[in-house]
Amino acid sequence: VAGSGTDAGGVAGGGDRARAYRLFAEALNFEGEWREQFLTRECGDDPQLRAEVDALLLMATRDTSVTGNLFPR
Amino acid sequence: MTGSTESDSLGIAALLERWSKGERQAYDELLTHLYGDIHAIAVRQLHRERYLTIRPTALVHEVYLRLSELRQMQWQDRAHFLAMAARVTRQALVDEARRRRAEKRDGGRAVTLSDTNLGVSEAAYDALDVDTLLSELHQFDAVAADIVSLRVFGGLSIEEAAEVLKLSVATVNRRWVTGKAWLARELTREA
Repeated sequence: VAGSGTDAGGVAGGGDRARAYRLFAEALNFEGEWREQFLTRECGDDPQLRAEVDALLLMATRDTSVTGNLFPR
Repeated sequence: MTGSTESDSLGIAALLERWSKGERQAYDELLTHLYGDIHAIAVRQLHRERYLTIRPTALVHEVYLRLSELRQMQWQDRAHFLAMAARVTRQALVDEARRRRAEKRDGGRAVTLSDTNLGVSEAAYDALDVDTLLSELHQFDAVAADIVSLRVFGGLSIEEAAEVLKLSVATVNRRWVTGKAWLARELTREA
C-alpha cells in the first residue's frame, strides 16, 4: 500500500484533478461558514476549481445509489 | 463480507498455513469456507452489468484458478486472503471487459447502467473504466484507491479493509468517503 509522497493531509499533489481532490478532502474538515471561507480562500478566482470541489462535496453527501450497486452499503 | 467469528478466522489462518506448505486439500477446504464470500462478490460485481457474458459461477471458478496460483504467498490471515481475492476478481473482470471491448470493434461500450438518481439518462461504465479510474486515483491518494478497490472488488467491510491496510477504522472511513466520492464523480461525469 502506497502512502509515500503525500502532503500533511495524506494526499499527494499534482494536476488539476488532484488539486480539486485535495481541497475537497480538506474541506470535509470544515462545516458551514468555515467551509465556505476555506473554499473561497483556496479556490480564489478559479471558478472551475471551485465547481469541481463543490461537485465532489455533493457526491460525498449523496446516497451511493447514484452509481447503482457499485459500492457496498 | 462480515460476520465471521473468531474461530472461523483461526480456522482459515490454519488452512492458509497448511496450503502455503503445499497441502492442496487445505486450499479446497479454504475455498469451501470462503465460497459464500467469493460468490457474493461475483454476484454483486456482475449484477450491475446489463450484458452478461460471464456468469457468477464462472467468475468464481476463474478467481479460484487464479488464487490457486498464489500458493507460495506468505498468507497472513483471512483478511489478507480476501484482499487478494479482491485483487484477483478485479483483474478477472478487467480482462473480461477488455475481451468484450475487443469484440465490439464499433467502439461502443459493452456495459451500461441506468442512473436515474442523477437525472442522467444513462451512465455507462464497466470494470475496465473503474480500474482505470482507480489507477488514476492511486497516483494522488493511494490509500483511498486501495480502500475503494478492496470495498468495490472484494466487498470488504470498513473494518476488514482497516485490518488489511493496517490503518485505523477512522482513517479508512475518512478515505473511503473521499475515494468513493471521487470515483462516483468521475463515473457520472458528463462528457
